[in-house]
Amino acid sequence: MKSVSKKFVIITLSVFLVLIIAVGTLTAVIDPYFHFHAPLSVFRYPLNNERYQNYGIARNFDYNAVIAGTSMSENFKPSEFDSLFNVKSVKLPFSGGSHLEVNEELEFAFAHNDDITCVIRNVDLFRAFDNKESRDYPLDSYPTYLYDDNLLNDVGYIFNKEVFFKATSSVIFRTLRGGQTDTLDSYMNWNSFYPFGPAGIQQNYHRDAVVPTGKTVITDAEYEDIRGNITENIIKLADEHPETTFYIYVSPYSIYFFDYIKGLGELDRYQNAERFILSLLVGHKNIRVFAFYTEKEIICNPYNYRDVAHHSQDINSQILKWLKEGHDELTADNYEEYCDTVWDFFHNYDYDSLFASDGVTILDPANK
Amino acid sequence: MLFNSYIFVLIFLPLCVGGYFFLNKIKPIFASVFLLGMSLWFYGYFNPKYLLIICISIILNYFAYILINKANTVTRKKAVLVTAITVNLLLFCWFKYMDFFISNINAVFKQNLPLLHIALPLGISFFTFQQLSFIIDAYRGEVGDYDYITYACYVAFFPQLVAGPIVSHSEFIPQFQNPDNKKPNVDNLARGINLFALGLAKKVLIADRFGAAIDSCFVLAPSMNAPSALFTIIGYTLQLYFDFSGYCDMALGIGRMFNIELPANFNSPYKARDIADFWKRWHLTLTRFFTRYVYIPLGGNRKGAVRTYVNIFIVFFLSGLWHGANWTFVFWGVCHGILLILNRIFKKQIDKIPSIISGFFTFITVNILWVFFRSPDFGTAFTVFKRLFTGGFGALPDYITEAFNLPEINFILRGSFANIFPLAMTGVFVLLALFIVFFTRNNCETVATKKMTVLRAVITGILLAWCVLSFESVSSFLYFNF
Repeated sequence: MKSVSKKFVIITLSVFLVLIIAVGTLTAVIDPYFHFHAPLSVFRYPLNNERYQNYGIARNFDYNAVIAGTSMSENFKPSEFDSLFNVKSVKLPFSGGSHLEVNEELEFAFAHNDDITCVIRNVDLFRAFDNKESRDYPLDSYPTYLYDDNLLNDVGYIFNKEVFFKATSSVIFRTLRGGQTDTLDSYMNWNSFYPFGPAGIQQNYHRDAVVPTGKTVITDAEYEDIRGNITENIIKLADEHPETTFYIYVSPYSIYFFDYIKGLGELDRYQNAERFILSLLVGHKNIRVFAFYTEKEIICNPYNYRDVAHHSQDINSQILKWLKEGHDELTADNYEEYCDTVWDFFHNYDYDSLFASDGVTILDPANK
Repeated sequence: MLFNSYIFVLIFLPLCVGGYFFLNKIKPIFASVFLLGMSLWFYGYFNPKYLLIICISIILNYFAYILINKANTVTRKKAVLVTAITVNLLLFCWFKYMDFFISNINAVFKQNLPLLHIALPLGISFFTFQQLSFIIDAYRGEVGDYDYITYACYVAFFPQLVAGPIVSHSEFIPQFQNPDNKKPNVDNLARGINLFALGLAKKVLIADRFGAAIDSCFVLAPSMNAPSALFTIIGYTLQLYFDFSGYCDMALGIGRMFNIELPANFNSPYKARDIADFWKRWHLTLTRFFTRYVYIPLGGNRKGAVRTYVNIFIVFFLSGLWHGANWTFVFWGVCHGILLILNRIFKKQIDKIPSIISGFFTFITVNILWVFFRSPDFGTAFTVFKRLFTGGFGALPDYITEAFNLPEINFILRGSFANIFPLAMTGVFVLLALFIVFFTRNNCETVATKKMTVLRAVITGILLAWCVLSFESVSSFLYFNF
């Protein structure tokens, strides 16, 4: 009996250890999320999971410039950034990322890389009323074991069957099939996956479902929230790294976004929010502020957008050129005039002209 | 700390078992202190503040035990007993029911008293009742001479500390004090590891899959279709059983590794032929506690039929309340009490019904009442039932089927049947879980009777690895467009 039991214990523990060590070793060595090292040259890696790979890229890739932000920055091409600015960049976007989330990631990048000379980061008007703690996702959904330097909690990474079957195995299969490692240009780039133009925007924008919120002014508490968010989650990092230039730009949403917020009755709120945000950002030595709502040809052309906000990669490329040229740069001297001009335009625009007689169907300007 | 965590399986458990038997070789008191320390580390892992409460509770109750033993009159003994019970219940009620009490005052007297938002210490329902049983038995002269460390080890023994079973001192302490049990026993280690692995699999591979879906179901109840409502009702029934009984299997398995046979808490409850049978199979140690310390002292069934029914009602009212500070729990308990009373009244007729039929209706009844047990309020429970009839037919939504979309099975099929795979897996899980609860032996029976073969060892090792590799997953961050 005892020898049978002893054999049972030995076999059970051996099988258990062999299996978890095998899975753990493969994941640790291949390291699909670059937590321990940069991509190994013998393997071919998919780049397709920003909340799992961004921190690894920030920790282990070789770079001196960063593109960060939200889904609006996912279509940037670091290769274009590199040739325009003479840098070596990585892209670290977070789709649905709050300012806090993006800032945490940038802080991590700076903590692990002393050479960052340049950061490009978008600011979304859609997030204008977030506070400094805002996140879109519950805290426990993040793989925080990838976001720190604690080796002990990396068990969550290497002893993880989902990582093994989804990520580690993808690397193995891609390598065996003779594929290539994805480029940072293609990383999280969604440009080819969505239809652009009136039909694309129409899928997500139901004008008849937009009802006024009743909120027309920004309360004092909300102003404090905005101040806290911008100060803590954008300005503070720039102040801590005076040697780095931060290019902060307001993502150019389409004219349909402004039709949307007009339907909400919140044009004034967003106007005042943008003005306030810009007032906080301009005037900092190493923050260069940009906004592109004066570019009417872009924002009024539905073929540049897949929905009311998300523009195509061509616009990302254009933005890079403008950032380099200093085109549409805002300073303490001109931001108020910019705000007056663009919001006068948004207040007086004939939004109904964008739609058919039913007031809902988006017109194709090509058919006008 | 959780049983289903890396730190527990890879560090805590091996360290605890190894350290316990190693120190027993040197001196048993070292091993006892070590086990107590490890149990307190287990308990305080997520919130060290909880340690203060359990330590105070243990000290006060042991002090009461000494006073009872020292009291030389029945009156003095009784005074200590009443004080000890009162202090235990006050502490318990303060943490568990204060906000419930305030909410009801606000509702009845139209007040707006602020809630205190007192954090509920882990396992307080269990260690309070465990110590109450000890103190009452001490008063009855049924408790031996136990030193403080032994008593503290009995209360704080980590396998049963957080979620039971509620262990009697007479079950634990003699085993704990037995010198033969201070040496490792490889038979117990083997069966203990086997039972632990099976319990872990029930929790991680089955219960948690249902749990991932069920949480969303109750939130989205107002919009669910009829199949989703049906899944919610059956799914929660399965989730609760696999989760709770899986935890108890793990507790018993770990206890066995320490050569301590803990009492079983479940005996295939969904095989019950009627409600009375159900309560002889579900949460056995809680039923035992209420029987010994509430039902029998109230007179049990010795004071006539009506008094018996009243006693049953009281026990199940209290049982409902014990489970949670919400009228839904009380309703659940009271319904079970009424059904038990009816079962008693119509026992002759019920016994004539074929087991398969009465068992089916018992299962349906238990299913229905679990919905109240789980729902945050009566409205949600009624909504789930309503949607069963008004939700209309349709496919099960992603928030249900994705919970069963196992990456390892997806990997094997590699894109084949990708569209129907999650739905198919949902069906497989539900049918497999129902098959297990209706037709298979439970884990305690299996481990007690099955031979410890090489194949069994390999399967146990695979199960353990599969579970550990499932402790973490990969989250999806769905982007909500306009």
